[in-house]
Amino acid sequence: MNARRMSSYVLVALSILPILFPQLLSSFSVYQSRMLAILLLAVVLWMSEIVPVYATGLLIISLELVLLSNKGLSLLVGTDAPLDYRQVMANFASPIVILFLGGFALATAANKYKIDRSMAKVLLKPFGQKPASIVFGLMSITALFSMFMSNTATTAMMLAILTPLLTALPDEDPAKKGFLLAIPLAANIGGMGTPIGTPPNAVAMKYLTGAQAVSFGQWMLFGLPIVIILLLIAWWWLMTAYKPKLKTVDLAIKTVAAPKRVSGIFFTTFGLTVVLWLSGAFHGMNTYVVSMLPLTVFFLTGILDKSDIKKFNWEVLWLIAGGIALGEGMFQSGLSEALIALIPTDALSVAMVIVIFSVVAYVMANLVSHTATANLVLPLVATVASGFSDASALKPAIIIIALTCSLGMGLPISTPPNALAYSTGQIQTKDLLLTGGVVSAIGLLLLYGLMMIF
Amino acid sequence: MRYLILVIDDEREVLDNVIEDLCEFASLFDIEAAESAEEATDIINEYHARNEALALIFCDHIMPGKLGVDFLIELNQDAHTKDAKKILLTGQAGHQDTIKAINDADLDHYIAKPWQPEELKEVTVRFLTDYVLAHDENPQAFSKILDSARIFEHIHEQGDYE
Repeated sequence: MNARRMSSYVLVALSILPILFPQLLSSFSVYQSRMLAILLLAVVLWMSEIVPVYATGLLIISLELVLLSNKGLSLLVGTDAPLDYRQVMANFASPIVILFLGGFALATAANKYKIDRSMAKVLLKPFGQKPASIVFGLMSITALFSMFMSNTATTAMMLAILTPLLTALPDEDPAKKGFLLAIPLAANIGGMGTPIGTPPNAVAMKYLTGAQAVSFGQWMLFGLPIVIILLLIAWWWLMTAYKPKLKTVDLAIKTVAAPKRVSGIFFTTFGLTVVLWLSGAFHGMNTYVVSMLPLTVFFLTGILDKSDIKKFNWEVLWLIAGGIALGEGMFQSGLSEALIALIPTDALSVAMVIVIFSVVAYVMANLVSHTATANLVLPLVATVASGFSDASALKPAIIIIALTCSLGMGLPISTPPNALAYSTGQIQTKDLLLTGGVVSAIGLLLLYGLMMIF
Repeated sequence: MRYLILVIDDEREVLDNVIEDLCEFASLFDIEAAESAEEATDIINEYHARNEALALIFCDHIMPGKLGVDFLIELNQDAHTKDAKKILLTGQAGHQDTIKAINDADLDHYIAKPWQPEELKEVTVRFLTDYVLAHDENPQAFSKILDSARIFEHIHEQGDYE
C-alpha cells in the first residue's frame, strides 16, 4: 500500500470522528456533528479519489439517509431528525439532474447520427485554409459544441477530426502542438458559456434560487462574453507561442449524412429548446422544464431508443446529486448556520470571500474533478455568503466560483480534455502550463475584473 | 493495464525479426517469443497468473509439435484467450488449414511470408486498437502508439462528462 493511499485512509478515519465524539464539538448539535463528518469525508474522498468520485456522491446520500433523515437508523435519529428522507432521495431527480438529462439527450442524438461531425465540417468551411484562421475556427466550434455537449466528448470528437492532419504535419512545426492544445483549451473555456456546459455550472444553479435565480439566457448573458474574450486571448496566445510555419492547411473531415427525418427532428428540437431556454421570461417555463423537451421528443420519435438511455452518463448525475445533497444537508441540519457563527463575517468583505474561495477552487480544480471541486466549495461559499446582510452577495460569489472551477486546466490531470490531448504524447506538461495555465490565470483576473464592475 | 503480444515461430531468425519490427509497441505491451505451441502455452499461463491478458498473437503454421492452426483453435476455445486477436504469419498454410483457421479459430488476419515490416506494424496497430477499445477501460492511454483517431472517436461516443 503506498503512502498516499495510507494517508487517505487515516484521513477517512479522522473525518468520521465527529460522529463518534460529538461532544468534542461543543458549538454543534449531534446532527450537525454528523453532517460535518459527512462533509469532511466528502473532502477526503473527492480529493484523494481512492474511490470513484460518483461513488462518493452515492455515499453522501446514503449517510444522510441513515444518520440524519426521519427514516434513518432509529438508534441514532429521533423524531427531531433534520432531514426528510423523501427530500434526500429526491436529489437523484433534482431539476439540475433533469437539466443535464435534457443536455444528454441533445448530445447523444447528435453523436448517434454523427450530426456533430457534419456540423463541424459545415461550420469550419468559412475559415479557409490559413493555419491561424483554421485554429480560430476549430476553437470557436469546439467552444460552441462544449456549451451543449460534454467538454470531454467535444474534445474527443475534435481530436479525432484533427488526427489525420496532425499525423501529416512535420514534428518540427510548432503548429502541431498549437492545433493539439487549441482543442482542450477551447473545450474548457466553452463549458463556461451555458448552465449545461459543464457540471459545476449546474451545481451553481442549485444555489441560485428565488430572487437570486439565473435563467439559461441570463447565464449566457455573462457566460458568452467571458467565453469569447478568453477564446480570443487563448487563440492569440497560441498563435504567438506556437507560431505555425506552414502556409496552408487542408483539413478533410469525413462525414456521413444523417437521414432527412432524423436531422429534421434533431434541428427543430434543438432550435426550439434553445429558443425556449432563452425566452423563459415570455412563456413562463423555466430552464428545467424546457429540458424535458429534447428528452421527450427524441424518445417519442425514436431518434433515441433504450440502448441510448444506457449510454447516458449516469455517474455524472450521481456526482451532481451527491453534491446537491451535501449542500442541502448542510443547510437543513443547521451546520451552515453553526459554521457561520464561528466565522467573523463582519470582518470579511464579499470581494475577499470571492478571492479566497476562488483561489481555493482554482487550485483544487487543477488537481481534482471540477465537479467535485464545485460540490465542495460552492456549499461553503453559499454558507459564508448567507452570513452577509446583503443577500445579493450570493449570486456573484456563486457564479464566479463556479466559473473558476472551469479554469482548472493547467495540468494534464486537471480535466479529461487535457488528459486526452496529453495522451497523444505530442505535448508535454509544460505546454499545458504555458497555455491552459496562462490563459486560466488571465481568466481568473478577468472574473475579478467583472466582479469589480458589477 | 498492460497486455501481451506473443509471436510463435520455430525459426529463431523469424522471431527476432518480428520482434524487432514490433519494438515500437514495447512501451505499452509486453512482447514475448515462443518457438513452439507448448512454450507459448507456458508463457500465456505465466502472464495469466499475473492478470495480464493476451491481446495479439502472431503464429506460424508448420512447426514441430502442435500445428499453428490447431493451437489457435485451442486458444479460441479457452475463455481467457478467446478475445485475443489471432494472426497467421506463415508461408505454408494450405487452403484447407486456412479455411479451418477462419472458421474454427476466428482468425483475424493472414500475413504471408516474407512480410513487409510496414504491413506488420499497420496490422498490429489495427488489431491492438480493436482489442483495447473492446477491453480496456481507459483506451486513451494507448493513443500515443495506436490508432488515435479511432480511440478518440470511441471516447466521443462514450461521451464521459465534465
